[in-house]
Amino acid sequence: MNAIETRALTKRFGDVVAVDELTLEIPQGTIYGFLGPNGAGKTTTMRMLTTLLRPTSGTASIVGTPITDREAVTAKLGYLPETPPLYEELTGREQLEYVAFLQDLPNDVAVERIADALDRFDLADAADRPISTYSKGMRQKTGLIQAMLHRPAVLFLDEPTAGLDPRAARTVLDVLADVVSDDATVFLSTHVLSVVDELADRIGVLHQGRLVAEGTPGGLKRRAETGEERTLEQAFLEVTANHGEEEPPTEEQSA
Amino acid sequence: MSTVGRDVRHGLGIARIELRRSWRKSVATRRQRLVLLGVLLVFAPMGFFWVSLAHEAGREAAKTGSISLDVLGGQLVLLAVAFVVMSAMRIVQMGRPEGDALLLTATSPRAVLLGLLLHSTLQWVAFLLIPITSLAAGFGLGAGTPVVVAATLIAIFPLLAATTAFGTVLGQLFVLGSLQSRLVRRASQLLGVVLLIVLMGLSYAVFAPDTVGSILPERFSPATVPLGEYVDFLFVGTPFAPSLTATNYLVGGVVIASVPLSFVVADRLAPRLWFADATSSDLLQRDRSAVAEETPDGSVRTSDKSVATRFPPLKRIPSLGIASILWIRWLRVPVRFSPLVFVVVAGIFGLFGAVDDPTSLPWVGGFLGVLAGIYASGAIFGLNPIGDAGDMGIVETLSAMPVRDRVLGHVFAGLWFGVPLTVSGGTLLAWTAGATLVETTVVVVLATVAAVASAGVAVAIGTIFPTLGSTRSYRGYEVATPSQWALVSQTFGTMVLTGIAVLGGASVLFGTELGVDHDRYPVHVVGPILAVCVLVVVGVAGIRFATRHFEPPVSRNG
Repeated sequence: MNAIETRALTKRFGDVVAVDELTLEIPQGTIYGFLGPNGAGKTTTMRMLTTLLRPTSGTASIVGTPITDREAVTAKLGYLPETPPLYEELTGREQLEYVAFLQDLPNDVAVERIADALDRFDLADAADRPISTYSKGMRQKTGLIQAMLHRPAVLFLDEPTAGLDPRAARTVLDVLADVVSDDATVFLSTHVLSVVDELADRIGVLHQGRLVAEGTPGGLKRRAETGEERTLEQAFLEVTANHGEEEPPTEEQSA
Repeated sequence: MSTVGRDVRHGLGIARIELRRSWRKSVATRRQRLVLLGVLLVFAPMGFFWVSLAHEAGREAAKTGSISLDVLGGQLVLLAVAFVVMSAMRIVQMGRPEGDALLLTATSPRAVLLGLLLHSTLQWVAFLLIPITSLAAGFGLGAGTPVVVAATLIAIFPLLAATTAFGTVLGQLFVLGSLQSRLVRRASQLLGVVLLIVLMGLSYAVFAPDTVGSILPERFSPATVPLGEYVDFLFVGTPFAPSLTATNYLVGGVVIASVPLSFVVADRLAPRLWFADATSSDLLQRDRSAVAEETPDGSVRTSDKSVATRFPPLKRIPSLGIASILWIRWLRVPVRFSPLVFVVVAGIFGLFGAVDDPTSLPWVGGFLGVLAGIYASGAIFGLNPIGDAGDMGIVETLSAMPVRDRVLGHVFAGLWFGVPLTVSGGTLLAWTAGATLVETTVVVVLATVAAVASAGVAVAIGTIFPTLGSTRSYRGYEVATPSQWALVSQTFGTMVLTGIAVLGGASVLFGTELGVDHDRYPVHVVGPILAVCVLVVVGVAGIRFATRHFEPPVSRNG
C-alpha cells in the first residue's frame, strides 16, 4: 500500500490554479523530496494532503485512508509547517506535554518520548524556558519534535532545516533517516537541494502547480539525451524553466 | 541640512507612514469598514444627545451671559489625566516604545521618537475631532458664537500633545523600573487592570462632575487643579471668555512648554529601552526564565515531573485539560482579559449610582455579580477560540482531540471565571430579598445556567466572527483579541440571557408580592423551570453550532 496517493488532485483559488491535476504514488518507508520554485503550489499540496485545505477536485489518500476522512487520516500524519506552530507563553516542555495530551498519548509514553527527544535535539537545558525566549532553530526543533511525538506513518515537513545551524540541521537529517528506517514516510518540501540530494529516495518537481519531473535524485541528475551527469541544482533549473504547458515527464523520460 | 532639521523631516515622514498604516489597518477589509459604520450608527443617537445638550448649554449661556467654567475646568483636568493614563498604558503594555525596526536605518532615535509621538498625538486628534467639533459647534450655534469651534480646536491640540508626551515618559519610567525591580514587575501584571479601573472612573467622572465633587474632599476636587484654568483658552474670542490672567498664561505656558520638555526626557529614556539587553517579552519572563537548577557539582538538573502530575493539570477529562491550558496561557498574557472592560464599566457606573443610596448597594452588588458572571463566562475565553490559537490551531485540528472537547474547553474555562461570580451575586441578591434557602438555591441555579448559556452563545459568536490575525502586541506577544462584532454581540446576548434569568428569579422572589395566586397559577415553579429550559436550549444550541463550525482558518479558504 502506498503511503501517499493522489489522483488528479487540483486546487483552484478563483481563477488561479494553485495545484493542477497532481498525481503521486509514494511508497511507504521513503523520503520524498518535493521541490519547486516559490509559488509552485508545494505548501498548498501539503495543506490538502494534511486535510487543512479542501481540494477543488481529485482524490488523495494517506496509507489507504482518503483525506476526506479527517478523523482517521490525522492519526496517521504529522505536519510541521514552515513556521512551527507553538504557544509562546508555554515552556518547551509544557508545549510538548500539551501536544502529547492532544494526541492522547499515555503519560509514561509521553514522558519517555519527550525526554528522549529533548536530549536528542539538545533542548533539555532549555526545556523549562518560555518558548518566546527560544531562537529560531530551537523553535524549529521543538516543532519537529511535536510533529513526530505520536509516531505518525507519514510526516509532512515544510522546510524543516530552515533557520537551523549546521549541527542542528545534521541532527534533523539524522532523525529523518531514523524515522524512515522505522517504515514511516517523509514528505519533504524544501529549497535546500543538498538536503534532498542526500536524503530523498524520490524527488518530485512542481512548477506552476504541475508535476514537471519525478524520479530518483540520480535519475534527475542524469541528462536524458547524453547521459551526462549534472548537479541537482542544474536539473532543477532546467525542468522548471520551460515546462509551463508540458506534460509531466516520467523518470524514464528525464533520465 | 542641520541635524535637527533632518530629524524633524524624518520624524514627519515616520508619522505620515504610521498614520497611513493605522488607517489602512483600521479599514482594511469590508468587514472592518462595516464595523466602523455600525459603531458610528450605534453611537450616533448618543452623539446627537450630547450635541443637543451642548446646544442647550450654549443657549443658556447666551441668555445668562456666562458659563460655569469651574465645572468645565474640572472636566478638562479629568480628561487630561485620562489621556496621560492611556498614553502611559500604551507604553507599559508594549513593554517598550514601538519603532525598533526603524532604528537600523539612517534615522536617529530622536527622529523615531518624534515621529511616533506625533503619530500618537494625531491619532488622538483624529479620534476626537468629530466629537469635539460637534460639541463645540453645538454650543457655538446655541450661543451664537461659532468662533468657539476654532478656539477649541486650536487650544486642544497642545493639550493632547502634552498629555501624550507626558504619559509616554511615565510609561517609559515604569517599564525601566520593571527592568530593575522584581517588585515593579510583579506590580505591572496588575497595573493594567488598575489603570483600566482608574480610566473608567475618570471617564465616568467627566460626565458626572457633581457626583465626583460630592465624593471627594474639596482639596482633591478636579476643579481645584490649576490645569483647569486652561479651559479659558477654549472660549477665547467669545463673549464668555474671561479676561486672561497671569495664572491662565502660566498654565498655558506650562502646557506648551511641557511638550518639548517631556520630549527631551522621553528622548533620553527611549534608547535605554530600545537598546536595553532585555527583549520586549523578557519583562514578563525574567522571573520564570528557567526552572533548571544548578547542582553542587556544577551540572544542570532540569525538572522532569510526569505529565499527569504537572501539565496539563486536568488531563483526565479532555475538555478540562483544554480549559486548564487556556487559563495558563491567559494568566501569562493578561491582556487577553480585555473583554472584561464591559464588566468594569458596568461596575463603576453601578457603584457610583449606589453612592447616592447606600441601601441599594447589596442589590447593585448582587446584580453586578450576576451580570458580570454571565458576561464573563462567555466573553473571556469564548469570543475568539479559533483566532486565539493562531498557528497552533493546525496542531489542535490534526490532533486526536475531538472538536467537541476543544469547544467545551473554552466553555469550561469561561465558567471557572463566571460561575463564582454568579453564585456569589445570586446569593447576595436572594439574601437581600429575604429569600428562603430553596428560593436562594433557585436564584443561584438560574444565574449559573444563564452563565452556561452565555458561554455556549459566546463560542458560537466566536466561530462566526473570528479574529484571525494578531491584533495586539503585549510585551512581545502577539494577541488576537475578539472582534468588535463579537464583543457587541456578546453584550447584547448577555442582556437577553440576564433578562431571562431575572424573569425566572423574579417569579420566585416576587411572585406573591405581584399578587399571583400560587395555588391557581404556580408561577414560582413554572417561571424558573421555563427560564432554565430556555437557557439550556440556547446554551446547547450555541455549543453545537460552534462544534460544527470549529474549523482551522486555513480550511476556510477551500
